[in-house]
Amino acid sequence: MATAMAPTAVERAVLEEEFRWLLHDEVHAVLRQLQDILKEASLRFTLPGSGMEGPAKQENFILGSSGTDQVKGVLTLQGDALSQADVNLKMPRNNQLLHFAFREDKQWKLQQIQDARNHVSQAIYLLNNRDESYQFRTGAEVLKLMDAVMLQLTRARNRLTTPATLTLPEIAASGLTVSASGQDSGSLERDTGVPRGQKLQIVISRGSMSMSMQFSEIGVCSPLPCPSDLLVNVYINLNKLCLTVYQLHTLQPNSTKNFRPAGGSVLHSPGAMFEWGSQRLEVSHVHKVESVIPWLNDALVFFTVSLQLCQQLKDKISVFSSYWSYRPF
Amino acid sequence: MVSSDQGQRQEPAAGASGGSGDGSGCKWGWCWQQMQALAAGDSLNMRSSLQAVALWGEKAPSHSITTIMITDDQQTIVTGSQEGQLCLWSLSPELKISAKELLFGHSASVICVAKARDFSKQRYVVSAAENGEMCVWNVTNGQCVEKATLPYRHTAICYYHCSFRMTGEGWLLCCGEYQDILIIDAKTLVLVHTFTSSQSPDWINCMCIVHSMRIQEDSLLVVSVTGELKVWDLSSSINSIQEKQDVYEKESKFLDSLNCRTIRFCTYTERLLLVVYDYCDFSLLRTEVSRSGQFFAGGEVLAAHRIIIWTEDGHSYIYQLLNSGLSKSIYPADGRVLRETIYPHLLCSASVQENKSLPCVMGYMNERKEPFYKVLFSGEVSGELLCGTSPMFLYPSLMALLEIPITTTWTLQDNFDKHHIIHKALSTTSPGLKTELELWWSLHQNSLPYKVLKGHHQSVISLLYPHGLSSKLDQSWLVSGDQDSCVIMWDIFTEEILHKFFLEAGPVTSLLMPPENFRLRSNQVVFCVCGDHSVALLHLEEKRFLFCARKHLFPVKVIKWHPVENFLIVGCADDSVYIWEIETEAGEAHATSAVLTSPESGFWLRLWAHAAPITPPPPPLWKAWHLDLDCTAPSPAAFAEGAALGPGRALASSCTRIGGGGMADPGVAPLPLCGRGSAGTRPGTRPVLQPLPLPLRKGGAGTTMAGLAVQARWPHPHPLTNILYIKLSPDGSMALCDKTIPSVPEEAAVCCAVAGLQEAGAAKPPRCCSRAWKREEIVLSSTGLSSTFYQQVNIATAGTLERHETGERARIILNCDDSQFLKPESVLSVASETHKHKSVEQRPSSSYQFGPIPCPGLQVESSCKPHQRSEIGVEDCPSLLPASSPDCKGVLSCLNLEL
Repeated sequence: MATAMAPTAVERAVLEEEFRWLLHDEVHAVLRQLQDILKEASLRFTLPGSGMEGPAKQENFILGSSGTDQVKGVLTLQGDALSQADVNLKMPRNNQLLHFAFREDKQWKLQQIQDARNHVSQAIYLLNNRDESYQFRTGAEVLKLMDAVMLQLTRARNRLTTPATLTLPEIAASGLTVSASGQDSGSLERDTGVPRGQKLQIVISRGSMSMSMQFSEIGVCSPLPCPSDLLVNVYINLNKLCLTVYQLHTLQPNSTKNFRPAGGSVLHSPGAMFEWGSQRLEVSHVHKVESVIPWLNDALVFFTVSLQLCQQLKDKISVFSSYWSYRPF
Repeated sequence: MVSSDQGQRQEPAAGASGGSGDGSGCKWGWCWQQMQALAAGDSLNMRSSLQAVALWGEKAPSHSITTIMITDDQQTIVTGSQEGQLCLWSLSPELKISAKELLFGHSASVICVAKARDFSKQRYVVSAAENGEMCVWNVTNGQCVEKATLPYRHTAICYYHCSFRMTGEGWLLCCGEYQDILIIDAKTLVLVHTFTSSQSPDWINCMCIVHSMRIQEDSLLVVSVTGELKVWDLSSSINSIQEKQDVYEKESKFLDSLNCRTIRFCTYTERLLLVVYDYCDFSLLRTEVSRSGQFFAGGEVLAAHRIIIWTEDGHSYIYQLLNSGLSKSIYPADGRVLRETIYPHLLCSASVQENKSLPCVMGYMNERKEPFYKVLFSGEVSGELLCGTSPMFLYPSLMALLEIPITTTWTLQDNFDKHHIIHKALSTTSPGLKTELELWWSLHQNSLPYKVLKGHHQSVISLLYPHGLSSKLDQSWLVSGDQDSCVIMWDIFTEEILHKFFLEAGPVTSLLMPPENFRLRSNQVVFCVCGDHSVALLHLEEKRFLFCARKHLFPVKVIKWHPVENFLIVGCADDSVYIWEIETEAGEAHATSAVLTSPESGFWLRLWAHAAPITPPPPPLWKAWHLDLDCTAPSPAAFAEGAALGPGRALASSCTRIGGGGMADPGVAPLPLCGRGSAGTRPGTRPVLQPLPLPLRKGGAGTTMAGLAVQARWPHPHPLTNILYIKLSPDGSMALCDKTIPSVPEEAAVCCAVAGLQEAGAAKPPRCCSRAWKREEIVLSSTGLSSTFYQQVNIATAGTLERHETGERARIILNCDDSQFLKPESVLSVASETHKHKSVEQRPSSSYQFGPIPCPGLQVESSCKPHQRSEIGVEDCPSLLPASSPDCKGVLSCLNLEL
């Protein structure tokens, strides 16, 4: 029955002493540790304008997939933006090779990385506000700080682990549209007369790209059966950079196929249909390739470790709550 | 004393938000009843037509101020708190503050408040919470006028209205944890459009609206997290916004500093911008480093060349900018930055708290009209509010350090202290009892009329009345858990203590009972969620402590039970899920655990019904009250049976039905959720301490479990990431919900299709759902019906299900054609290629840890072409069928309600 008894005066004094130590020393030790870990994590995300002059360093990632080798390519990541892409797509039907790349002056911002980076810096900011000189006076104060930090960390982690589910029109509108590289390179093809290995470019715009720039339209001169338009989606999934290429074909208006637009998904399966403008399109093929980004893996591990540290600190504080249930500990 | 508001909408979620911050020592209670005269105590109103909240007690609820604003008429200060409430403080002309109303409504911490209308016409403010909720409140009467939940978290909101160009009530310009600026309609809270930036879009830290008389153009000035200052034209872009055209920034410039806190425009000279960072200020012209250990948090322009700056810890400084006489353009867009010779001169400083360094939020109101004051106000984390007037106008020539006198401080506690009538206990009646027995719970063993159950040495924080959940259980039992990890089983008629359990596992935050269909020990078990994140299992009848599941690293948020198996599914705060298998053998219950998921490996089960969070531990009286009213707020009882699915009481009952069948048919071996080499064994013969392999690792989504409450969620680059909910209701309708927006959990579940079976005369609930192999069709069918319903639904899953109705035998056809998405490292990833056209039973089931288990009566065959269908026969499987075969990429989620 002794366990159920309220602590004695001596016990209480000892507990208070211990709690004081916890608030004054241990909390700061943990916070410092957290700061170190998160600094380390934030170093993984290169921040634009963070003192370092010059562009962020470029990293190349070779994309691959386990099953097929229909899509191959290299994506160049510069901080939180994709600066270059070099993707080869072998068309399944005729083994025609398509090549596409970013326009030199355009970048593609990976929103997930940017958000994760910002969440981490928010967490660091919260921790920076409580340096050694700061005296925590109540446990509740620590708990609130930990809650705020954990919220940011969870969001940072979830941002990387949960790619957005997009509908096909959203992907189409997101701006990462593959279209023919324009008149000039189109003429290049005509000049060379090499139908195989058509030159493509991903032209990034912010939603203004219209799907009317269809492959088939410029490919009129091509003797080959023209592929329909392509949709490209790039996202982060955990520690991987993923590139999805959707091949589309237009559904004829008189088609007997039952049109039913697809819902949102990270990866649409062949057969998904959507409406774009006046056209009805169907995904005919889906190609997905990915590449591991090692530093994202590090960052995710750091997030998890810091989350656990936060929780442990919360637990330590909470232990005392049962002793001092009469007042806010 | 109590005035009840005539609000427009009810806010049941408010019940969950009201728990006081710390579970211990809470001495205030609250109640939703139709307001009976609670003459004692201070009553604060709830904006709701039927219900008002009265607060009383000795201690004020905790109100950690996170954001603060003062209304334009300087009569009300609005604060938002971490606890999710807003507080209205009235400010008298003599600068006396008093707490007026506490507004409940947000279920998460409030991040920002801002005005939402032209204040001379409508006194409305808008608040934004951590979880994306936005509410517009009428400050005059505390009503919530409009409410919306958007998947955005705002950190700052600016109201903008241009009366002659705009129809409607104006816009709320919002920035926060997303790129660029959102424009939200101030009346409907609908997203109108965005301001987009063409250059390096990023989160925006702070913003301000500039009305310049000189250039006759309103502009929006923002600073992004990376320190980029951007300018958007406001008044001239109204039309393009209304026509949904993209509006890009007019100028953008990189400031060499991160973490900008505030940006302000000097309306007096129209030449200066004040940019406050956390460590320096006076952008461009001059930077001033803050004193060590202090971080600047905000600032405002007081007058021409005079500014006020405040810090995170509640100090404020007034500076005079001594102009050297050189005239400079406000912001040389051409990059021609002249080094300025403006010296900030410290005139005046104030410390809002003596020798205290609690973080606080501050604001400053600078009204030029008489008799308004220049008010500096500050709200503190502990809930203290204070305000002072700046003496600057009194001594404009005095360049000495002056203290800003703090005229008023006030806390919520002060309001509570005004009324000394203390309610030490709250009367509750337990509705489940046949007798009109009233129990009075006292916090600290105070004797009170009616029955007093004495035995706890610490505050009681959880209660369970088992008979209310299952009529099989003894009417007299009542289980209560306290702070000290002690659980007492009472006989409420004799007031006897039947048994005391000492769990030694921290405060018992919640007591739960599995639904009736749970197999274990004819439902005599109680699960205790403890403060050290463990879950203890108690047997009531035998008065025995069975086990304690202790491996959870994070607080337990939700518990579910597998209806057939003895599986306990525990969801933790970090989104991980632990599945415990409770083995019963020779009267012993053991639990084995396998951490099903961890974030690094990138998959977890997501619990669907987490509308009823257990944390924070609700205060004791609150719990007692649950027993009483059994309404609005999710009670532990409701929670336990999964009824917290909002309108899903029906779901809970269907869940019961499922389980009933499972119980009734012991001859059928339960379908293992997963397994390893022990296929087909009966529960009794299975080895104890069998670790559960990771069954869903390579599997798909869509597992429905425990009354359709659990959904797998896959962050994998996998089509099945799309979450599909299938709700079956006993009335024969079925809904498929497609969750499309990941950041908003429940609300975003968009119902794709609802199919009712009644039209065909089916009185029975749908027996199963599946998808036809044509991909766009879903087949709903009900046994006993020859007719089959085709409801077209998009399900973005790769594994498709098909089910055919052939007489009494139902078949599900699993169609796996997504082999190209299989991950290289997945153990059985090749299955759908190498094992094409083979059924599961032909596969080695014991060689691999993740191997599939053939479920009795379940055959899975995968095929790569839609036409080569594989079949799963569902033969009289009595219950929920959460079969997951890792190789099939699609977890079968079928419910068989035909018992």
